[in-house]
Amino acid sequence: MNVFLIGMIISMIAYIIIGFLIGKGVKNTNDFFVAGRRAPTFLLVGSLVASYCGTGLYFGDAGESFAGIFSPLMTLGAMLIIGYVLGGVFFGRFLRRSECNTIPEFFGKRYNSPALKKLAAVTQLVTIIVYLLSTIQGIGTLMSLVTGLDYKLCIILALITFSVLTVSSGSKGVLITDTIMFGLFTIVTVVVIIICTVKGGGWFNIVEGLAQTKPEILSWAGDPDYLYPTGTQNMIWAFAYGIVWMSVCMVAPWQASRYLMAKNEHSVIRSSIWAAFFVFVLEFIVKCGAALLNHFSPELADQSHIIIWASTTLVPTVLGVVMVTGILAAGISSATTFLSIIGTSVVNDFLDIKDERKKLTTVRITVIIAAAIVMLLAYFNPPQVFWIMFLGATVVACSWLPVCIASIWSKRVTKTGAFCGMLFGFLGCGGMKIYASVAELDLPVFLDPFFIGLAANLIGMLVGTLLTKVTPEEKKQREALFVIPEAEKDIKEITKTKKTVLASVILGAVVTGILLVFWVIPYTSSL
Amino acid sequence: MEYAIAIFVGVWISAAGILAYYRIKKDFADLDTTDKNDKEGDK
Repeated sequence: MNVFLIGMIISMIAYIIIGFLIGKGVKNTNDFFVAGRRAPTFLLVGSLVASYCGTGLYFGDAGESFAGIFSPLMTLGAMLIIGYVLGGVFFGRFLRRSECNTIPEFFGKRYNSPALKKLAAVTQLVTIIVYLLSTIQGIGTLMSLVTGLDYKLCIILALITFSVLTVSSGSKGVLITDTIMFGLFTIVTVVVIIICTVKGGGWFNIVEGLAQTKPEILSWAGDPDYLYPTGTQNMIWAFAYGIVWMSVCMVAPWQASRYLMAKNEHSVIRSSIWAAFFVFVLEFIVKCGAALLNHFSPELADQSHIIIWASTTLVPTVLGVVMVTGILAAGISSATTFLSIIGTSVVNDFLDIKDERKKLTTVRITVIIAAAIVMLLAYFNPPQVFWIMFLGATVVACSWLPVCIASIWSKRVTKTGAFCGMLFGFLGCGGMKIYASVAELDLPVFLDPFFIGLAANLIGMLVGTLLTKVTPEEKKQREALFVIPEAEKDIKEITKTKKTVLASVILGAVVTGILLVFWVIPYTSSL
Repeated sequence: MEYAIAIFVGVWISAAGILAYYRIKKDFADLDTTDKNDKEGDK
């Protein structure tokens, strides 16, 4: 039997066993939906990073960096991490304070609007299913590539694993397994990339060699034959999608919903800063590592297979097996988060079930149905990990970001404004994307669905707000969000939180230093 | 241009950090004052 298949099966069985063990402690919907609201900082960090870093990073981003747009993707990757810093401080802690079970419930409560809650839940379901599709395609590709098994069989095996894990243990299990998987794939990714570069003659030698032989790979402009024909257009795209992914890290349901499980608001803020740090480390090591693998000039059937090629060719077999199971863990951890959010949202935001046991049963059935739907979608759609992942992210940014910010920081935006903004942003972005695909248009960068969707959201919000007035109930709900709970007023905790936030200022200098030392200086000095 | 990108992203991240820090400082400013007042009162 293939050694990679053995490694994967062992890891999947281990996750299922862990899920069952944790599942014994799930007594009610509070445990299943928000892990009892007792999650400490390190579990939140693990879940934030593991939910973000799925197969999209190891297949999509790595493949595109290898193929020619490293610099735009690295710019985007460094820009997005402020989504965590801003998300925790300006949105996440208020979300935690609301004591809601889901973000749609928060919108509904804040604006006293069941319609907005339903709309948010629909947009959430659509984007998560799209994103889950990208993840499952990545897992299927990974498994079939290294084991030789049929792609469709691999999809079924993976779906069974993370469905069983989610159904048995809910959010509580997802938090713990996410953290275990985060530790596994972070460590093994760093080790594998280091070994690969050592095998190629060392990091700096590879950078200098590529500057001579394939300068476009590490150039700021990227490869002009790949995405857009000029460096300026590639960088406009990078800035736009830097903001899209910043929005994802700030307010996307699979990120911000982690804060609902926090034991307190200090854990929310601290975990967001640590997540920013770890996500940058992974973004840098995977994207830069993939670009440097051009040194070996591998012959690949698909560029997105580059990390798998390195794991199965350049490193010792045992480490390759651990790396492959690590990437599988990254995919499964994202998928379990998505599935638990789908189940929780359907029961919490759409159905009105009073009985606790019935609620738990329904949420579990919902998870199984959602997994079956995604399996069918993955079965009939060819893998497009990178672009499907970007579609999900863009729709979230366009429909949710302005409303999330306004829900906390605007006294003037009304429930109608919030509703119109979310609806128009969702339709504007999704509509533009579908139109461009059906008409097979190559849109100029300034007509990217992101710009259209964001403009539609802001116009909708403005028009809706101008036509209506803030009700006393909306005003009361917003004011309640600014009352700091007594439990959060511990001076020691406040001091610790302030220090952690201050570290994010230093993180900027650290990021610049890393990029200069490991990319810019050795590259430009060898041209 | 590669230098500009490296410096830009660093400034971008630090600016967000400064914004977040001052928000936290502002939100908890009253509590710090209360704490000092309590200590003064104890003396």
